[in-house]
This record gives sequence, C-alpha cells and structure tokens, in this order.
Amino acid sequence: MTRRTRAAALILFGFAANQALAVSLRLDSITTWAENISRSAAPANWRDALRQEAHLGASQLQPLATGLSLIADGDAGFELVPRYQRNNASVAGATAQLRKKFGLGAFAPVLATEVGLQRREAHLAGDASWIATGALRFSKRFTDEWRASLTGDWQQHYASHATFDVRHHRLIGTITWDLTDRWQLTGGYGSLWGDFIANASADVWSRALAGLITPAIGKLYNTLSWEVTDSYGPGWVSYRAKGRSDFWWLELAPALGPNTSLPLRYESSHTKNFVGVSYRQDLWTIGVLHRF
Amino acid sequence: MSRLHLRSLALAFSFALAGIAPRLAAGDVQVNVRDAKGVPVADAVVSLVPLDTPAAPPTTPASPAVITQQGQEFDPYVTAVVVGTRVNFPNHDKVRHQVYSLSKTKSFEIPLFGPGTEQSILFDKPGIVALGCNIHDWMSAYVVILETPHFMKTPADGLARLADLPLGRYRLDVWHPRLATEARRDVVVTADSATQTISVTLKPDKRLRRAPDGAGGGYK
Repeated sequence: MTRRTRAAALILFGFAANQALAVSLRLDSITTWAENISRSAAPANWRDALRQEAHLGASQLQPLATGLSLIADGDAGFELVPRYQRNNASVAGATAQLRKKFGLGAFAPVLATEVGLQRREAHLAGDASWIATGALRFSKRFTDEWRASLTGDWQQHYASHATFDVRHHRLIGTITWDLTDRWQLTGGYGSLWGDFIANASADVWSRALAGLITPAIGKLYNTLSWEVTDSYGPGWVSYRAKGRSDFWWLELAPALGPNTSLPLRYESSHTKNFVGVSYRQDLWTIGVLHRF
Repeated sequence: MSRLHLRSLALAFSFALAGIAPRLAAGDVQVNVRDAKGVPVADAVVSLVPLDTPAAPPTTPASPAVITQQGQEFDPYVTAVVVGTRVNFPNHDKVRHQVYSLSKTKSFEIPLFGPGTEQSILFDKPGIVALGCNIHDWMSAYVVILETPHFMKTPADGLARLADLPLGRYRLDVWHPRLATEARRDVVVTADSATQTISVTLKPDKRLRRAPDGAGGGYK
C-alpha cells in the first residue's frame, strides 16, 4: 500500500469512527521555517530550511467517575524537510490520559497524567524508533481571559541505532490570554534535560574529535554515540549529546471559525551540552488546526 | 312624552354609549429592546409583572421546554419559562455532554449522557440559571424562570409583543445575559396599543474560546 493510499485510508477510517463512535477528530497542518534546523554549534554548519508537518488525530473520552475521565487518543502524521529529505519521517502512536477535574465548569483545576507509545519511521534508518512518553500536567483557568498550565514530561526513544536512543525530560509552563473569543495569545517557557541529537559536517566533526576545537570537547566527543547520516549534506554526522535546552515561545492563535484556528508562533531555544558547546535555534511557525 | 318614545330614546342613548365607551377587556404592549447604538437586541427576556393586583399563578405548560445540544452548543442560548416548567436536554451531538449549573436558583449536575439520549430537569424556583457543559467549557446557555405569565424572548428584531394584557400598572423588566445595568420601569397598559422602547447597555460578549488552542512549542 502506498503512503498516499495509507493516508487516504486513515482519513476515511477517521471519518467513519467520528460518525459511529462519538470520536473527536482533528487535523493539524504546520509549516515551520527553522533557523539552524541542523542543530549545529559551528556557525558554518548552520542550515535553515522549511519543515512541513501534518497530523490526523482522533480521541474518545470515557467517564470513569465524577470528574474523572479516561481519554484515548490516536495520532498519525508525517514530517517533511524538502531541502534535506533525509530528515523526513512519519509517526503514528497512541496515548492514554487520565484526567481529573476538581469541580465543575471552566474554572475547575485539572490534573492529567498521560502515557503514550509512538512509532517513528524515518528516512534515516537509524532514527526509526519506538518512543515511549509520559506526562503530568496541571492546568487552571483563573478568569475568563487568563489560564495557565505546568507540564512535566519524559520521553525515551528505542531506536534502530544507539545514536538515536534519546532520553530526556522537560518542564514547561504556559500562560494563555484569551483576548477575545477569537484572539488568543500564549507564552511558554521550558527546559529540557537529557539527551538530544545534534549534527555537524564532516570537517567540523573530525576537528572536534581530534581535540582541535578544545581538548575537553575532543575528550567528550570521543565517548559519544555518533554515525554518518548525511543528514544535512554528504558526510554530515549526527551525534547524541547530553545537556540542557532552555526554550520559550510566543504564539498568537486567531480563530478562523468555531472549530479552526491559525496559530502563528515564534520559538527560540538555547541548547548547551556538558562541555559547554551550545547552539541556538529559532523557529517561525504557521499552522492550521481543525477539529471535526 | 309617550312610553314608546322614552324607550326609543333610552335605546338610542345606550347605543350611543356603546359607541363611545372604552373597551375594558385587554391591552397590547410592544417592547422594543435596543442597545446603546440602537441595534436590536435578540435573546432579551421581556416580562411584565402586574402591580395593581397579584397575577394569577401561571399555568405550567403541558409539554416541557427543550434545550438541545447540537454542534457542541446549546440551542437555544436563552430559554424563558414559568416556574414549574420541566426542561428536556436531548443530546443531538455525536459526543457526550455533561450539563450542569452552579446557580443558586437551581444547582444540578447531569451525569455524562451520550448521543441520542435525553435528560430532564424541573425548574421550580424563579430566577436565572446559567448552564454549562463540564466537558466542553465554551458551551453556555441560560434559563430564565418567571412567576408571571406575561413574558417573551426577543427575536432578532428586538421586538417583544405581549398581547391581551389586563389593563393596569405593570413593572416591565428586561433581562439579557450581557446586561450591564438593570433595565426596569413601571408602565401602564391601556386599551391603546403602546410601544415601550428600552435602551439597554450590554457588556462585551466574552464567551470562552471554542476554537482549538495552538499547538504550543517545546524543544524535542
């Protein structure tokens, strides 16, 4: 079955489920201009490119007790980087969320815990992986206009190649301002601790391994898991490093209708590994989110 | 003057009186609800409470009022009923809903009910009840429970026509979910139809956002 046929079958199945099983269906299409999409520390290695994503999701809510619900969610989609197609991937997965609402109505605080499993099929053979996720989220609406949330989540990749066996956890806080029922502004700030994948061209990588950047870098980088992936050009290397990333974003999401919104987001992250090698990444995103 | 002549005169006089005497049975009132800019206000509940004599207790309607859940919204947005009316909540959606109210007039919580099913609540006290859905936070509606049988909800043109009212003094009340200040006045219902124009100040429409939230960010 071709990818297009699979996608069409998935969409048709989703509509059928939506009609028959009280399943909520959603479709997201997101386009991002990523500065330093290559996640490289050396300025000479910075690569900018467009990334396109689309996802079809379905969820069903099942009440368990007063204020306690189980939400089953399935999601499938793809990520395309037309300029660097070795980074293309498709994903499909499911999550189960237990949600406790402490009270009735929009102002009741909500605590949700979620576990998930996702399959990632990547053009980079080593990046094909099973991904286990977990999250705990607390959210509260304070007024008709303001609400906030705090999320702690965790992710573990079980990849084909050890280079892509990423594990990290994050803590993210968001504040949302519903200016009107049509205009929404959200600010988020978070940190990631653990593994992340970065990339370098062949010559930068060989200099790093030889200790020609700094001896400390040479010492650490020779212990890292890495492989030649040609991710952003011939001879390019992908490697798994440990460190921390701090990120923040601002998102304006006008509603195009009662079930459709058009989020416009700017996000900036600053990532630093354990020997102080850092890089910055800036993302400009426009999306269309529709709920059926 | 002969008896026949006197009888004819009396008959003619009574006919003359009938021609000029006012009709005392009932009057009509049309209430024109406008906002500060003169725009007609829909979904305003106009009610008249008699001041001269207590109104007879309103008759509970034989059939219940209906507030549907469809398209993940309540319909209608405002429902006006008399005390003792039962309201049915049929779910015409494809998803479950959990209808509730925290209003002092009538506080209740209907457990989650699925597509094609219906629940029912009796509204037995006068007042305003704000409804919500505990699953879909943007859903809201109002039930206005009245003790007078003389009321109407304004349609899109903002005009409420109340007919066949016993003549006399009334308190005219206008209620709207976004009403900023009280809209009330005393009126006199006469045999001549009269139009009462009421200008109301409305707060901005601040219903909760229904469109999906943005995807959010986060380095991965």
